[in-house]
Amino acid sequence: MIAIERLSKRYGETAAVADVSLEIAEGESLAIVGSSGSGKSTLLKTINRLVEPSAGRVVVDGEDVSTVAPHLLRRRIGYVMQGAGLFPHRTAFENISTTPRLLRWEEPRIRARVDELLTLLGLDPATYGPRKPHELSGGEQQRVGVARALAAEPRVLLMDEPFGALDPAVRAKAQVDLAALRKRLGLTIVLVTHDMDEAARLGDRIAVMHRGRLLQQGTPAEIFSRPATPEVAALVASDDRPFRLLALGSVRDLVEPGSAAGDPVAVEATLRGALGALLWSRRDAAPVVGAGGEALGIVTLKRLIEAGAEPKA
Amino acid sequence: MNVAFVARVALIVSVAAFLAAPSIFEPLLRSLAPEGAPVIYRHANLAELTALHLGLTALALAASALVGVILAISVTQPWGREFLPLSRSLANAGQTFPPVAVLAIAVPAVGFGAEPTLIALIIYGILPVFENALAGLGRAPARALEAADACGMTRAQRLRKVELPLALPAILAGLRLAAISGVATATIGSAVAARTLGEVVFAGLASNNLAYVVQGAGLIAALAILISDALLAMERKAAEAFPV
Repeated sequence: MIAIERLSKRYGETAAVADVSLEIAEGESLAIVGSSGSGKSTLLKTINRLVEPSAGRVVVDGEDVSTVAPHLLRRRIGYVMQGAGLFPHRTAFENISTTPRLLRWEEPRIRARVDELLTLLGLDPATYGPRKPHELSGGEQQRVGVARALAAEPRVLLMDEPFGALDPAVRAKAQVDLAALRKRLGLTIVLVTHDMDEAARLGDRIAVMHRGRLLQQGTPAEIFSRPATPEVAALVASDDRPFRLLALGSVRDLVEPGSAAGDPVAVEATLRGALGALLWSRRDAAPVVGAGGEALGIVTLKRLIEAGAEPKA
Repeated sequence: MNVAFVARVALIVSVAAFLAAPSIFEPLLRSLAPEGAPVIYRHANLAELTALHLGLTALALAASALVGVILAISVTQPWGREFLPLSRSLANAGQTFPPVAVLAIAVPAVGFGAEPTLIALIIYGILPVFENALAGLGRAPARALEAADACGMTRAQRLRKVELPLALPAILAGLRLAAISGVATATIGSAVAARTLGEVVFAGLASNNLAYVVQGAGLIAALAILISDALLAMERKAAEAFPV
């Protein structure tokens, strides 16, 4: 568990972070969103002491981080940055083994761990291990960066705009991979991004920052449907907001009894997917089936359209 | 197998041959010596002089490298940063003194011989090493430095594992500059009785024997070229191994 308590960071007269309190539960993923200069990266870096707060404190697993030597603290916390930040003179293998070596792991254990991580991230160890960063594509570098952060088996992973330097297609894949990785390793993740879609996709909860202040925190659906301030509203406002909102819900929430004709939609599908299927096939309702193909009822166009509308006050 | 490679091998072979048996070259140099004067310098063994010349340069280079690199590391640490301007101007001042002036000042202090020459060479070598090491230490990308911290390296570990390897090509470039100027500067050391190849050149100048001058100067030039070549090759290797 990570607790950020009344934390402030001032640089001279300006407050990069102003009196922010946040809690991140074990195994949870929190996305901190804000425009540049909102203080989101500064806040993230106070967790592994890359930035020392001016006031307030950060507690990780009941321990005030300011009482732990920074280099020892950081060996327990994974950190992924924009553009990967690999050591240019070291191979992928050497990059990934950095923290295990600092922790003086035995050589066979290091080798096994690096191979495991490369495989997990879809990079063949024999091919990619010996490569230098300049011999890797942007997406591959980023994956090596993630592997390096995870090498010493941290339970907490901090990510600072991790996919910001990737092109959209590679980025989407990286997001899917990260979500799978997180499920598999049971990681607690704190992720900083300026992209609200990325935040909604990767965060169980979203915290919105603006000019050093925490404006709102909540589930993606709460943030999209009930922005607390005009600044948050501006961040989530766009023509496709209804679709973003629908993408967060599952058909399960809107199933009603009845029967309908045509191709069924899966109960685990997103509302956005169900709406798309209905629009495309010119239907008012579709049958809903479970994972085994059993009929569960129907989902209607009317309910889907309501689900995408601004909630009534 | 290009022209440069062939020229290099030819140069090495000629230097070795000349040092092993100078008399082979007597016909070539004969016309440069005055009538009846000796053609080949015989007051000292040329191979020995070359070894002393190189030894003096290498010793000075090692000392300047140590001082220059340590100085560069010190002033890039948080506790040493405020000394950066001061050390820069000191190193620059060292370079602006003509070597002859350093020799002249050093002789009364330490006497004639190799010592004043060594002092001048060391002072002369510090600036190129220091400036290049400084540039090299600034070469590590900011993200790589942040990554080093984030991975849990201490400052010393970061310096050893990230900053110095990335600075190595630049440090070698500084060593090369210092070595070339050192080989040249060691020559004038013979003016204060250091045993270097300068002895041959000065003897030639004193007795108006152009053959001596060409022998001494030729050897010195050949050494400078070969040393520069070798260090440049190392520099390229290092840049390849530690790309930024």
